[in-house]
Amino acid sequence: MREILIVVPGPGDEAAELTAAARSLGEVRVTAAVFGADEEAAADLAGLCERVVVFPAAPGGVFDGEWAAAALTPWIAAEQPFLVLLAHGNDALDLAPLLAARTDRPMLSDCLEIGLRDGRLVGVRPLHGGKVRARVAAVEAAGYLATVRPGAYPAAAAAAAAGQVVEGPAPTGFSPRREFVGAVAAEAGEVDITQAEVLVAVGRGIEEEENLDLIRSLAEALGAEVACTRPIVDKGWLEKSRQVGTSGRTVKPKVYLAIGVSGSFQHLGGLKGSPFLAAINQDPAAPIFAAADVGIVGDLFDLVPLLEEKIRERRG
Amino acid sequence: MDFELTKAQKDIKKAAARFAKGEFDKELAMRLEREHAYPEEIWRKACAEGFVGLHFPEEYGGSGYGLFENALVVEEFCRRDSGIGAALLTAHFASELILHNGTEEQKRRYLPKVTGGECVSAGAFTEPMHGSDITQMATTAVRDGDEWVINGVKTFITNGGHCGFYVVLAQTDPEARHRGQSTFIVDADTPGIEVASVGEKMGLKMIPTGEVTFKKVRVPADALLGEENKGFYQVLRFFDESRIEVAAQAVGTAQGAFDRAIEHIKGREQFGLKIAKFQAIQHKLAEMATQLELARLIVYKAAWLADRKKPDTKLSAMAKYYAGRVASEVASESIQLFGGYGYITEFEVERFYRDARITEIYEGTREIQKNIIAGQVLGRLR
Amino acid sequence: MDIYVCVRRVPDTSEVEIEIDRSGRALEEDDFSWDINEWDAYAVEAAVQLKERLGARVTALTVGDEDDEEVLRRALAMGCDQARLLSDDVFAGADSWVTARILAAAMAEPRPDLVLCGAVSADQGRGQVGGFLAGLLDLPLVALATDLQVEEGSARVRHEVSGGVEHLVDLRLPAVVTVQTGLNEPRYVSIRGIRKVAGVEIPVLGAADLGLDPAELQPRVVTEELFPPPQGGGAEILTGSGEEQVERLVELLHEHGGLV
Repeated sequence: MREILIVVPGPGDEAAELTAAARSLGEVRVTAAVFGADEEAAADLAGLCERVVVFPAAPGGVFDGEWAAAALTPWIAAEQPFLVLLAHGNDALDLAPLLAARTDRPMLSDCLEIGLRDGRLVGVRPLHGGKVRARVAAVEAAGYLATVRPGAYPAAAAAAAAGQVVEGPAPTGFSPRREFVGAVAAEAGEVDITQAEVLVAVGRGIEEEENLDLIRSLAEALGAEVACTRPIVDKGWLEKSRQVGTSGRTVKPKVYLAIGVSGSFQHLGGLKGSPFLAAINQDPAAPIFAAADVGIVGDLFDLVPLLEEKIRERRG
Repeated sequence: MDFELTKAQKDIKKAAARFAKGEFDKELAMRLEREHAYPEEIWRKACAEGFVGLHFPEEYGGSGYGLFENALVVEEFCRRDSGIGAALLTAHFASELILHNGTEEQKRRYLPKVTGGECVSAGAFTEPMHGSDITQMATTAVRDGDEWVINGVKTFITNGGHCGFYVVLAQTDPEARHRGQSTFIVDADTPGIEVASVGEKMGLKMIPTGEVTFKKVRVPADALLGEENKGFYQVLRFFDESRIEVAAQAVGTAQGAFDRAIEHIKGREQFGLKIAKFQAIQHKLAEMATQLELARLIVYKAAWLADRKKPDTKLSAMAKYYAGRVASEVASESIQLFGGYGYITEFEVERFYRDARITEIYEGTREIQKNIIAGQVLGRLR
Repeated sequence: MDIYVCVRRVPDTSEVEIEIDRSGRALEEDDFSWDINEWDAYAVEAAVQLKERLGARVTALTVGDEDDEEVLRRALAMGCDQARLLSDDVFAGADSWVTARILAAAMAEPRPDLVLCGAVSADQGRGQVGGFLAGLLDLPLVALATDLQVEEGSARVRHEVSGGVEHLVDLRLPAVVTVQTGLNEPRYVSIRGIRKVAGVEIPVLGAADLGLDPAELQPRVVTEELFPPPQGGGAEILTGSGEEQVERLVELLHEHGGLV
């Protein structure tokens, strides 16, 4: 049975997704490495994995790639897991390649899929901002490391049997070359939709200016910015700086939720970087559905409040 | 024979494209055009980065490159935005007359102002009654002691009322026609200069174009540029070079319109209309692309020759005539390819068309260019 | 202080249609325009600013062929002091591991006080080289810097961590910092800058010059095939009751990072 180590820097759904990714490789034994987790968090992880190793938190109590690499490197050397998995994200960029170099493992980054072929790690990953995908294969090695794109694997359900929780050793002889000073509060920025990762775009389907409050409220629930189509600006309902399209701003969000937007090529021309595009529109023949990843055909005045409610529920 | 740009030329082309992409904003361009406002800030930045007057020697704030490199910059600027590009390329207009004919003192006094972004320059050649024919000037300069006194009206003066100084072509020997003309550097704040607008223009809306009246304008003796009564020849030589720049403007403007048309057509294909798949459209594009390539080649050759101290009057005229024609045609066809959207300001091609048309008019209309070409081909007819 | 800045030339594929070539492992490059990787431009600017403030010596490095030299000329025109083109037939097919090995070898003399890299590249998007370098050179790493202040022997770095948060950390130099866009405002390449570097011969260093044994330069990851992302016939239209549809949509939005 292959040993797989998932490294979980912080709370969130990463662990369940990583566990799912690990189990997609067949019969495996999953160990989760966490840093300074409390009992409850460790217990949650133990519901997913066969084993949880709780390493001491880095000085400062936050995730620190230097500390994590120092703690994990000897552990990996001793336990020789077949694969080390992390969720591809900011923390992974701070740790994963460093760890791969220290443990001398081939590394696949930002995988949408991982798999095994002849005992070697293979994967599928996006290139050129998602415009093309690559099948990649690691050369034969004693062990591998990979980062998996969040959302690529649906979160695994907690297993019935709880795994064991053990303590991991603090790195020995660690003299910090990197020290945590403090967290920086995010600046309250002005509206710049080109920088937004999530946009809720509204089009003519909104019908009346007053109805924009529905969209604003939904965007707030999502943590998104409001964008719009040309006609909304023409009517003076929203600022020009929010217009997406060939005659407006070019945006590169990760997620684009188009509500009451017909999907003219002028509008879609301002949408770059292949975001996840979701559309709500009453007209099943609206061109937006040809471009979208997912759509709901229906009345936005029913769907939007419901959507907001569900989002707020999910966020607790 | 070598059709490849040098490394430095590639770097320059890329630097210009990057600057234009970073600074020329569509919304800004539309606003400046609407308000008839000069792109002050971009012009200052372009000067700071060395784009304005890069063909001037380093001692005058240039970079010692040639007309060829200047043409590359002009092309990239106009390709990104025909209006802002035109404003930048005309910022040093007629300063070359000082470069070629001026004393060291004149060069040191005026050229660094132009390259350094202190002021733009202007050439006052055209007169209301004569247009592109400059063989006889109504404007006169009369010697009076240590001064010259200039009287006359010049029209269609690019940067008129906006420049720091004019290079003025005036009759110094009224009897001798073109053999009796001289050029003068006239500071724009000299008493007696009045500027009126020529009226609303079709394009080039960010650049002021004025009718400049010189009423008993007194300039010192050392305002004379080069030799007395050689002005006509100075200006002809200048036009041989400046026409290359206008031709580069034409190529860039045409390319900019063409780029937008291509993007539009491909975009429409994406959403099911597949207009790029019509053979009629493809053939039209093939013609436009070929025209563009020919225009570019002739401009490059004319610039290349000029930089090798072999300026070719005929080739410069051909470059301006042909590239200007191509600019008008390609921009016009680009509008057509956009259909109704092409007629809408926000889609830019109509602006490119309006800005393209000037390249067939200023610095010698296309008819004048044909006269020059024919004259060069036929030689003197008896 | 010796600063190395690692740069890479990448195609701008944002506005062109991508086509896979006949080998199936690479893209048709005819329509591409190439430029310095966006993140790397910020790294160069950061290095040059440090040089201007502290008098550092900045060396720009790239692994590639003669076409890639242009990004080094750009780095020089922006103000780097010197550049090295790391080029050799045996470097062909380098993955990010091999690339990092080559870069590390080029930093043998003088040893770096600071290594700056773009956090990721626009084309490959792996985000590996900086971390690999930190491992190979045994230096501390900070990824995704959004602010960088250097003083004698130390650096204070603001960087992005998961969860939309930024942390401030102090680094003891030497160190590797990977740079996020927005760290500064990369300067334009001025005509005078181009003029200055036009005559500069950029040294080309191969495996032998770097003391690298070609046998050590085996890639660890190979690209076997490129393929277009799956494209169904338009959107997946959700079914079920309005409530079910909306719940599924929330799920999908969440999976794609839509719940910020």
